[in-house]
Amino acid sequence: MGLSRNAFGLAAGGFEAVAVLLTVVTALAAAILILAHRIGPRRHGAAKEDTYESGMEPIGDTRRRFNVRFYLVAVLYLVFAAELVFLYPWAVLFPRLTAAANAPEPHSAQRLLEAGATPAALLVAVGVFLALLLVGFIYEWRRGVFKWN
Amino acid sequence: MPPHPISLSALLPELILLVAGCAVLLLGVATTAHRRRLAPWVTLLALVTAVVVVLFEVLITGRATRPPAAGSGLFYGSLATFVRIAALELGVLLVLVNWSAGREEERGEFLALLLFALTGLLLVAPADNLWLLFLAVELVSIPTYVLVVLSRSNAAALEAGTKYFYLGALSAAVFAYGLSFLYGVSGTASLAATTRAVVLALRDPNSLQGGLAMVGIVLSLGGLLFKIAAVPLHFYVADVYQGASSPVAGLLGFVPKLAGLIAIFKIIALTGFWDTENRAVYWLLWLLAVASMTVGNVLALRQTNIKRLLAYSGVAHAGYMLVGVLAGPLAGKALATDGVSILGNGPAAVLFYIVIYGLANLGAFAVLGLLRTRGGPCETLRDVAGLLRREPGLALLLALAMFTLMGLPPTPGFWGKFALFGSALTASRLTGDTWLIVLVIIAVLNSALAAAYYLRVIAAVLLYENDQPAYAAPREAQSIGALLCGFLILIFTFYPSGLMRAGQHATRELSEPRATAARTESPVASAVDPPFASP
Repeated sequence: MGLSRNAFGLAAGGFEAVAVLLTVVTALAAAILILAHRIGPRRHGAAKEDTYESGMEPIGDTRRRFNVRFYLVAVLYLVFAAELVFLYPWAVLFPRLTAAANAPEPHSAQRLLEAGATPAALLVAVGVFLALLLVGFIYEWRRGVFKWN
Repeated sequence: MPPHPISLSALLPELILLVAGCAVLLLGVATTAHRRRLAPWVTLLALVTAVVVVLFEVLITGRATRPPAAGSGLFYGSLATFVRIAALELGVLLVLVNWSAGREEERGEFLALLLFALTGLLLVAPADNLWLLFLAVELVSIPTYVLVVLSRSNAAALEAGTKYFYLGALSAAVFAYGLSFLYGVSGTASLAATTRAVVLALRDPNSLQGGLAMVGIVLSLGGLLFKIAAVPLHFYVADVYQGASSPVAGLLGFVPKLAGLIAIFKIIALTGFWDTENRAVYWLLWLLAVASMTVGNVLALRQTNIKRLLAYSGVAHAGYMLVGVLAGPLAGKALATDGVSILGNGPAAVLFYIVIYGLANLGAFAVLGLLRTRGGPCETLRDVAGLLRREPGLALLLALAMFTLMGLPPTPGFWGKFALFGSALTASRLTGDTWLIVLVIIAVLNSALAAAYYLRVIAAVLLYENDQPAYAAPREAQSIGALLCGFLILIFTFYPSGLMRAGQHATRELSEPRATAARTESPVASAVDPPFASP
């Protein structure tokens, strides 16, 4: 019973479709590689062997030093991107949950309510999340990450 | 009926640590030096408060379990209480030993990360859901990578931290990959439901489901072997221990190991291994245990740097602990002895052993961290030679820690090995499995082999002469931490039964057969635990 359907959405033992897919994907990839190798034209020339075949001309080596501050910018970007990624579904869900909590008849978000996700709990949860991010933000500010000189 | 809301009071110790971690992080960047110096005190206060909260709850309510909060993915059983008390009490020692770790201006970060790692450790035991288990284990691991780098300001620490981070990230990926297979087999993340599905799938190992479940188990165990530093994922351990400062190396011997072992218990329990004989899992664990102790001991024999020596001895100790995992919690129950004997309960022996190992390891590293020789840190056998003359207290403490790691009677290390190997023998008597006896013989031979290198340290400290012996740095908190480690080892020498009984209670939830759909959302059997801390 518990195994009749699994997370792949397939009936137990019903992995034939996956096998077919794998075979087709492998065959197709191999065919493309072999064909490109066999029938592709081979031309050489100064323009062809450039770094960017039809783009800008490279200026100097790629292996050069760059400022370690970019690392902090990347970390900051991650902090705010993660914040956004979590806030977006929350913002979509919150009004629907509030509507479900107030609606007399069953609502599309009813199952979430039954799982214990009341609007108040959700508000507290997102508040805790923002507070934790705020701690990180204050820490970075105090460490002088935002000064660029 | 509306379900219980997620009960925040159940999470009080974790919340205390989390809030204190944030506070310490901000104190570390405070403008005045006076406030910055508060950070270790706040850390210590938070840990002591959390210990008091946990003990108070156990003593007042007289039970170590809580009704689970629906949908929270957390199950507060007796195992969680044991891990809480062990982690918080060793956490106090860790803070004392690491009181002045790293650079002064980075101490806030250091202590905050220590608190976050301990929060993760507290969450590993109650995690009742595959994703929470993963997150909790990673919450332990990720701060430890940074702790290694922060602990010293030299290139060796950076190198150690980088190695530890990249290999740790790889192991986390392997662990998550394994969990995804288990999720694929069961279709749910809840551990109880996954147990049922995995046990059912493993009944026919040749089926696709069985194969996928086995891949999931092997991969997730593989990721966790990194955390406990067992063969074949032990390669990082010596370099990391050597690069980190000694007190942080002591931390690495306990915090990630306990988290990894608890997670291994949970993954092994998923297969129903302790109820149903699963030969594949059995041989996997058997070989890992033998390889870990042999490789660890042989590599440790050749070390002259005590930190590397202790690192490889940690690999060997991970092997000894896998013997207890293999023995399982059920043998003693089935034999129906007096009911309190630890000799039939492998996981209880493992819990006893990891606490003792953590204490002795931390004690040894705390002493090394306190010692200075020719202005530098004290790391090699030559550095500690002749310590008895100059610093008799620390020399005896180091010797005590080494004797405990060696397993010399009557130190608690002996009681731990006795319980581990005894549980394996009991299990073999029950199942008639001679390979378990072979395993115990190999383990005992390994313990004898290990004595060789522990005795080299002891001999250097107590017997050798040195014209420039190491001297102790004047660090009060670190000295107190080291002394407390020695004191606790002495207590467990004369009174091991308290901790053993605690381990027995803790593993009660493991010895209930979960595979037969017996475990639902509200476990009844474990709700009648006697008081955890009763003597």
